Amino acid sequence: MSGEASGTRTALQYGPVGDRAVEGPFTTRQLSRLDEALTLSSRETGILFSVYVGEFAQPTRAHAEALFEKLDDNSVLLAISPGQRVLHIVTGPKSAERLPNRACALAALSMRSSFSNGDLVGGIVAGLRLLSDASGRPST
Amino acid sequence: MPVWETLLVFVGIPLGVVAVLALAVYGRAMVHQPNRYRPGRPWTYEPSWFLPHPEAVPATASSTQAAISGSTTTTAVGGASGEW
Repeated sequence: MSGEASGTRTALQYGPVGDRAVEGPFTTRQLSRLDEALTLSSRETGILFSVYVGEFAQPTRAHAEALFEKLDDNSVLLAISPGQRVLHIVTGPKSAERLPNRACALAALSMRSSFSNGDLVGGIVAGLRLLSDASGRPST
Repeated sequence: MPVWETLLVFVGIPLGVVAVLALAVYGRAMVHQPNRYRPGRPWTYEPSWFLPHPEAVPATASSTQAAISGSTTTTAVGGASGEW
């Protein structure tokens, strides 16, 4: 993919689109693991976690932050580009209060070690778990 | 030995052996879907974006809807990056 952020799938949609389990990078089992981890961590913390897997335009950090602008203040984006071997965790104004950069760096470290072993979904699940543990329960 | 028996012994049995070996080697990969990512290999899949189930975030259900429709804008504050 080469283009700005709007060139990617702009319509965020819950669940698989089309026959993703066959055409996409993840198997059905991996997709259900991913869905469970996303749903559980979002429910526990009240923070909207989302995962983007795909190519970044250069510079990669700016692209990840441009993607994040589609979300809201209380959300966290885990953006991963397996082809470029880059990952970015982006927090917003409200989610950053509960998730300091140090906690994000720890999750990024854990994800990196899984990714370098080729375990994409395992890394994402581990990162989500660390992030949701670090952010704790919603205060309200 | 009639012709069909010769064929059975000299063609049928080798084919059977080859089939058994092929099944032993490739059978597992045919049953299980293989891991589709190897570090260093190019990533040719379409970008995909995964969101939690909308009902999982009751406190931010409206914002989930907003996020899905893409109507909100927010700025990134912090986070972390990594390469592998």
